[in-house]
Amino acid sequence: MATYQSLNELLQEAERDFQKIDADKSYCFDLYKNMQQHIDLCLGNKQYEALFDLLPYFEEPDSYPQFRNSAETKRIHILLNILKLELKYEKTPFLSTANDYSSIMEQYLLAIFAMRRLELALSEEAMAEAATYLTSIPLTIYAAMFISQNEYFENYGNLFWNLYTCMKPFWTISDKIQWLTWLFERESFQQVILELASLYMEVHNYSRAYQYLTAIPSPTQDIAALISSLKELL
Amino acid sequence: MCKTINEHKFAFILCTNNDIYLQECFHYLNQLIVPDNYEMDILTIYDSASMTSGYNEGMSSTDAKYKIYMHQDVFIINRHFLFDILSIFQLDSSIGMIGMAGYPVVSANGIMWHSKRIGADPMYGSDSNAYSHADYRQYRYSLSDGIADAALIDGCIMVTSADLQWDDKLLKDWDFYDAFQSMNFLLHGYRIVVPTQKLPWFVHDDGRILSMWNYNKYRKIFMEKYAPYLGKSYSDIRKHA
Repeated sequence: MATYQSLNELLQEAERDFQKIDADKSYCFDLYKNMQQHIDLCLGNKQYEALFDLLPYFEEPDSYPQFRNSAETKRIHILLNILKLELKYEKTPFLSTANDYSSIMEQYLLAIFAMRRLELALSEEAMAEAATYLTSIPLTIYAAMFISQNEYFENYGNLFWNLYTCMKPFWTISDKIQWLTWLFERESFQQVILELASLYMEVHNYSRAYQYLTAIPSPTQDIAALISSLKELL
Repeated sequence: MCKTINEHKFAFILCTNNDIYLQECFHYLNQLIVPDNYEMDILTIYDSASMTSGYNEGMSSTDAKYKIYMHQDVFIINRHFLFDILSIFQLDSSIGMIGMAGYPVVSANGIMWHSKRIGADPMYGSDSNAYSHADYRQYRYSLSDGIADAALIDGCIMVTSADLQWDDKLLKDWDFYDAFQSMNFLLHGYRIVVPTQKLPWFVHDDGRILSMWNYNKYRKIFMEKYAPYLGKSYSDIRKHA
């Protein structure tokens, strides 16, 4: 929280901020409408690259500060960031099943809701419904990562692991390694280490598998045996 | 006409304009455990002119003693929520309203969050890892976890055990109804409390951004109407009840 020299200073600052919001209001609403029309057009014609025409609206924050005041516009920016990585790494884009603005926003919201059900794990039934939805859309690791970073999630251990479990059959081996590496950077619980080691062995990268396994603080006999056989192999 | 109040009934009252949010909200409400001998109702008000008129419509159409006014984008994840609010109301009959996040002092500029916050952890969703591996299925609130008095509570969830009209004459949009109704309860002599939540009781899916478009208009009305109480704490305000 900011500190103020006087009550008057606090009141004046609030007044200035609100005057700016009031001044930007109609311009922002018009611009938002134009953005929706542009997205309708691009998604309708599958012209994904043309969506990046919207990036300057977000990436020049001094020119367009009003976008900070809308969850919808923030989500458009998140979708553009997801798309950038998906095109770079030649993945089927998260937004490729949507034909217009409202359908991509619906898909985005439903993806958040499903991910949250996996995070909270309140019931098996809720988790199964979530998994069914998430595997029915092109949920790339980039979409999953950006959504988890920019929306309300907290229990990353649960979210990342449960999401991994449900998306495992759909993601490539390098995606799976990337996803678990992100999880490992946050929380290095044993299940993650074992899974990462197993994936590295699958791609014959035994030195990385060995590196991960030796990070387990008190390995069981089986794991200790695996570590020593990997050591011999190396 | 005087309505008979059903002491064993909870009513959730939601103003809605989005079925996607509403269905997800229902998903969590339907997972709540209802105490024995109590019933639970969900009232949805579609396309209301304002939050206050929608809430008044909901309030007058139910006989439930306990009303939970909440946003369509709020998901209650504490499955024992109904038990917990009941136990808090039973603690002291002067408790008229419970919030999930609140402020013991009304800030001098009328902006709620410029005052110290209590209740729901403001770190939720801030990448703090505070709840990593938390077991939401096993979580239970206990009165010994605590409650704290508030002057104002956040409108995402407002639980009442008494009916006071929402000010639909002054408030024609979707802002400041929470601050006005909090003042209303305090000035009628009720306590407003916020439970200590060791795990979050709800998720507010507002995209981590608050809509501020009409906020200033109602902030000024609030500051004018409640000028003597700006900068005052809940206890100072209740003295005027």
